[in-house]
Amino acid sequence: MNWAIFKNTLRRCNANKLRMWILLVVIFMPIIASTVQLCVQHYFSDQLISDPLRVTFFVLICGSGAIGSQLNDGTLSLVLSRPVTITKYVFSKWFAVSSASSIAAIVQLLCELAVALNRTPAAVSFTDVAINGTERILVCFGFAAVMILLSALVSGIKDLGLYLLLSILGVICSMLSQIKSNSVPDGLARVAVSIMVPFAQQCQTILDQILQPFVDLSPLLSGAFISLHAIASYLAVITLFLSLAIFSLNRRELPYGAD
Amino acid sequence: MSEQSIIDTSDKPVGIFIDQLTKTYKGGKVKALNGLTLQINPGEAFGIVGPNGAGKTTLFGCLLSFLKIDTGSITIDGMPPDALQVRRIIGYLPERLNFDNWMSGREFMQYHHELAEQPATERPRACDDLLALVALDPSSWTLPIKRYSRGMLQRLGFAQALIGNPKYLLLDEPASGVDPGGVLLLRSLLRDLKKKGVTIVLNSHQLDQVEKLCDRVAFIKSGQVEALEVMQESDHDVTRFLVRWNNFENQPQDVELRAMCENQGATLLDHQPEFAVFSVQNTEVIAATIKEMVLRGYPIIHASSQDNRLEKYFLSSEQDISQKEL
Repeated sequence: MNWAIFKNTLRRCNANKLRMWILLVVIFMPIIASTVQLCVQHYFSDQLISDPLRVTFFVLICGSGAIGSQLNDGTLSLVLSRPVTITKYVFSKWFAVSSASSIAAIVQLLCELAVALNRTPAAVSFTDVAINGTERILVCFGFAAVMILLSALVSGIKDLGLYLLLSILGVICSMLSQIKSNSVPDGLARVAVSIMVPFAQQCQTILDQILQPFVDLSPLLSGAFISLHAIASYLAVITLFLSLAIFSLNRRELPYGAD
Repeated sequence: MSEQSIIDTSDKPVGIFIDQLTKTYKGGKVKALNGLTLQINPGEAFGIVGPNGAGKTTLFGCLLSFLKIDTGSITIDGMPPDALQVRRIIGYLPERLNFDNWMSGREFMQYHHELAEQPATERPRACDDLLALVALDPSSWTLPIKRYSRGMLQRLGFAQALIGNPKYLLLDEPASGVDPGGVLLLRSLLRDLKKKGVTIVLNSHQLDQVEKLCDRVAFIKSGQVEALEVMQESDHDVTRFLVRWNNFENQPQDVELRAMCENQGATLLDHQPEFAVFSVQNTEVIAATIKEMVLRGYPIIHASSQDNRLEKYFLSSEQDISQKEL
């Protein structure tokens, strides 16, 4: 871990005013939404605490262009002329993006908790909130690894485009996997569907696992243990994505001679 | 003026050794470096000059391990250029000053001071001292870098290159965009660093700057070292002048020209189809030599003092191009 790069990543994020405004709006969205609902519709939605997977948005805000923007503006070459290994560089970037988005996710959870306590204090379970908070942090650390890889592959904030592309692919797979073979006429089309649907289901599962690395902690509520497979899968995705990011940067020639 | 073989035969464990370096782009179609061999001794100021596209910037990229070499090798103090230990002893000023422009100059220095693994307790003072050393106006230290002029950026870049008292200083066009006062300051600073034993590798198009500072200068062309010039202190007392003549008319023969020079008290340093370079001990001889050449009917089209010895290489390059065009 290189603390200079860690701090620089946080400050680089902070220096982008548009990014910070979007982050603040998203963090305080529960309070804003509740106020709007109360004032305009005189109605509250049922969901008190939002889904932990929604915090991927914070990672997108904090992590887009984490490496790509440094490749783009040429500052990376000066950093790597210092005694910094690419492994430390990538790890520090990942930790910074994860930490920043985790803090944002927890602040948002506290906002949601404040709104929930204000509306229906009896319905609030602090165990649920604690598990939700932990899951949010896990999502942030997992998804940050994905964004770091995408950012190492392309310059600027094109990593957002890559993520969008993968998400669209996930939606297409999801749609394909819902096709029922008996709704297709007999013949080649049915054969094709019978092959394609399981394939699309597999692709969707893989895409879900790699695009939203997550460990479901809800079994803890019922006193059960968390699946070891889920933990291993989560850690494997982080390790794989960070390793690929390091590999990609190691192979890359810095655009020293390019304009 | 004297030239020497490219590689010193003396066995030195330290220094920069570049051996048969080849670097290509676009799948081997463009050869940026073509078997370049060079030795840079510890404590010397070494200049790299050459026309655009000669491979100078690529050479810097390879020295800093930003670019991956195809064949050949580079060692710095016996280590590969991507070794962390090498990065601890190198200071680098890039040609393109791409800094984190949202930071202030002082923050930028402190960031690089930390990256260079320098002690945190000395950080504020060491960074301010370096900013003062390059004469960057203290009122600008807290300004965002995006508000800096090109000259201020150059000074900031030079200050960051000096962080951690590097043993090797790689400078890519350090005087570009700097005002005349800044150029003089830079030259003075580099001379002081040289006295302290810092090895300076200077890539610059400002030949005057290179000649005044460097001990040796490599002229690079088409990815190879075409000539290696040893600059000598005593040479500064000698005046040189350049005479160009029409390539297509009655040109003087080498023997004839040399004899005429001896009679006038001048020395013929270089004689090419389009030009000749002479050296004289005093400027009065210049007028007498040119007068004699005119009397002999040499087709002179240009005569000027040649303050810079390195210009001849560029003149040769121009000549090559014009001959190719013909």
